[in-house]
Amino acid sequence: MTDETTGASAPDQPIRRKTPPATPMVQAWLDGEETRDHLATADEQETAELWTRINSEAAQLRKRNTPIHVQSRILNSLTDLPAVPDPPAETGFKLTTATAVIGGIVILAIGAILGFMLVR
Amino acid sequence: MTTSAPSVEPADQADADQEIITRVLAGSKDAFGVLIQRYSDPLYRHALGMTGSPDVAEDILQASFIKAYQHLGEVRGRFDAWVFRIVANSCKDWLKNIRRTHVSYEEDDQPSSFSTPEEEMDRNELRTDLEYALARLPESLREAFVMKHVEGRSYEEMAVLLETTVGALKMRVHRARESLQALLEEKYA
Repeated sequence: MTDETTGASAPDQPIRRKTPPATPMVQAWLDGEETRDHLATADEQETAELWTRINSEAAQLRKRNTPIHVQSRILNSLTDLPAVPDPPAETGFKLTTATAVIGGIVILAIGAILGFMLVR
Repeated sequence: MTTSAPSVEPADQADADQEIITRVLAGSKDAFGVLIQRYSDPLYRHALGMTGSPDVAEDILQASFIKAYQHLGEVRGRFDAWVFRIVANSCKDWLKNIRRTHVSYEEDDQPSSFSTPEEEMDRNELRTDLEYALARLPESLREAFVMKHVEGRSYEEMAVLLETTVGALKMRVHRARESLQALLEEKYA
């Protein structure tokens, strides 16, 4: 996975914090593991207020759907493509009834020849 | 639909997808449209959250579905996870080539649900600032945050899609929150 400290769009400068980072309780609340009632301190409540606003904005983004013309555009672009190729054929040996019968006959023939030669 | 999760069990969904894939491989090109319709919204939201640009998100979505179509015979396991990884990797490739300093949602033509112009202006400002802050996060943190907060996925689903552990993803999301909070609190806290 990507190194989390060296992303391509890493900040130009270190991020300076005005307040302490979200407490484990705030993180648990944001993860849905705790209710907001469990945020005891004023700092936690202030942080929760900020995250309520951020989550509300994120929820707006969540409502966005693919523009209708995009699905049509994708489907139209497929018509210019050749039919999708079949998956690569298996290259391993497959034992069928015919190959088993032929193989058996060959082994019997070789055995018969060797036996005939030994007897002579 | 608020998340990518279909209203059926994942195993049933995977079976249904496999049936469609079989039809497409047998020559029914139109059947691929069902997969596009089924998965384009969550994939579009992911591309939009990662790139911040509707135009880029549309292009990534189109290129990803074409790639998926051309390599459909190579699908092993869940189609939705497979095509998600195509889109996610395309987003990361785009981010490697582009450094953005500002993210614009001016092309957003979706109807607003805000009550007053003042409220809408305030919300649009937060949206712009949020996107700007997201753009400053390292890719892996941005990806985790977008999947959790914008796409509304569970950690378990994220772990399947990104092929990592729930613990690692929680750590990324927590770090993303801390960074975003630090970037936004100056103005909004």
